[in-house]
Amino acid sequence: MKTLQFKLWLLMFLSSATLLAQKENIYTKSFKTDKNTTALLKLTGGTVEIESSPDENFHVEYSVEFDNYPKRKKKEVIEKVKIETQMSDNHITLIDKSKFYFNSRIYTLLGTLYKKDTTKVKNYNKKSKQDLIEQIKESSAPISFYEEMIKNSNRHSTKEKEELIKKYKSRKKKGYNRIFIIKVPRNIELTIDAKNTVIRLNNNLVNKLSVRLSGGKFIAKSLSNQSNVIKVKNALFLAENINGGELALNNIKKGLIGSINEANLLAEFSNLEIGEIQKNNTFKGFSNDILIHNFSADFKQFDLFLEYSKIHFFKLINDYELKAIGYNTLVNIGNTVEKAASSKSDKKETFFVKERSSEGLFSGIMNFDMTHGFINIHLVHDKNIKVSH
Amino acid sequence: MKQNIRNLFKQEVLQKKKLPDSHREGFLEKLSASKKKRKRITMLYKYAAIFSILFSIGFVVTNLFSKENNATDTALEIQLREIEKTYLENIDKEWQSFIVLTKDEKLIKRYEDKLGELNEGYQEISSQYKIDKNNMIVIEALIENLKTRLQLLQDIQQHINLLNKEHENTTI
Repeated sequence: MKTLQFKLWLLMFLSSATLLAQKENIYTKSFKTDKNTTALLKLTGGTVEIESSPDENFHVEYSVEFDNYPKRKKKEVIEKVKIETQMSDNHITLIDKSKFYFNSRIYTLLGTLYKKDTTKVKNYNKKSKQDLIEQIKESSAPISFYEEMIKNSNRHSTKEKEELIKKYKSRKKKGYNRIFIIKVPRNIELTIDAKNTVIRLNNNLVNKLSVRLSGGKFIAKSLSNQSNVIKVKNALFLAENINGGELALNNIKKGLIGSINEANLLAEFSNLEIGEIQKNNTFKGFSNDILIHNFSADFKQFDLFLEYSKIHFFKLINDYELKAIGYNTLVNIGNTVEKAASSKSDKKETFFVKERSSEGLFSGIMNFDMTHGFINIHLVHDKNIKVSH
Repeated sequence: MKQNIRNLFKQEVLQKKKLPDSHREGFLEKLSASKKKRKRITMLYKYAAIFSILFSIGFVVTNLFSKENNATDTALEIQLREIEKTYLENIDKEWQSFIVLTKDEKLIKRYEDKLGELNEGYQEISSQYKIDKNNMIVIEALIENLKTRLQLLQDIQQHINLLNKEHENTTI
């Protein structure tokens, strides 16, 4: 009887050991750096997490976590990982040549999953900067492709979606998860050239960044550098804080920015929601829908150059000045058309001015250059503002 | 010289042999040995028959399924071609109405470039589709690309129409 018990225990131990998630380190490498070191990352498909290095070294760590995955198939997965790194003349080059073809396709689709909201009547609810940051955190949490597809599907009701996700989560899954972490020292200049990739910039990065991403997701906590150049297209864009640099966004169907400070934004064919406009920002763009929830108490100057676009913002608590030039543009305050720039001429003229009231705290000046567009100023006390656009 | 064969038998005296005592056992042994051999042969025939039946069933079933797969592949391809055709027709229709609606050549050029860029993306996904025709993700990506093109054209026209309508209604 005791032997039988022992056998049963042994059997249970062996089977449970194989069922537990197992992490396999595939690639680890570190490079010594100094303040003149530069690095280039070339990525296609998959997820990469970029973090601040705890020391002066540039670390690359690639591991795969297996969940109930058959032993004989693990080798196939591991063999697909191919990371090439080299360092010459104080320049690090990392190329991810891993062949996870299927995932690369998935990420192509991810950027286009978010359907543009085409409902003619939109609700505009004012959110605080913190509300939007929370929304960003929620949207950027790792999620399985299936869950993401269900959440964004138009085919199911909310209840059906919840049930499908619950059912999916309760199911015992067999699979693997790749963890690719790059730890970057504070001083080095980093260039990322990526396609159909999920890029997560986890810490408050102060490095000079040059990013070009086409397809996938761009998720950042805080990016602070006046020389940053970030170009993202056909992707999901989520950033809690942008401080300085240039930001070029193209065909971003969902773009959430917690706060933006001293930045130049160039946007095309994009839908953006911003928690707070801080000091000295310039936005330029074409065919966009931009919603601004708040302006900081000292936003100083906000310059806006938009064509065929809509800009929405909520009435400011503090005093401010606004001057709008352009043509063929309408100014809606609340739900009423207050001003209209001529639609017959293509000569830019001043069509809307909001003078400084000299009462209370003065926050800054807004200069708008708008053609063929809408300026929608929503009143804060309207809890559920509806604008028919 | 001719002889009668019957007489020859009459003349010859045949020796009468006595059967050995173990003759019966020997005979039974030989009989059972021949039976085993026959049994082995029969089993072999049975196995061969089962194998050939299974092989035939397998062949028929595989053939049937592969035919079915081919049929669904073709149906899917036809369906996709139909979807592509419908979208492209609608995109073209929207494009025609867009270029009638606006006189802004810069705007037309910008949309032309954007649609061209999306078309390039479509060709790229199409080449992936040619490799793996049953991958729903690739198929959805193809449809999504077409949807985006159509949506862009519809959005800009809606924007222009709304601007025109609001301007007409405004008396400021």
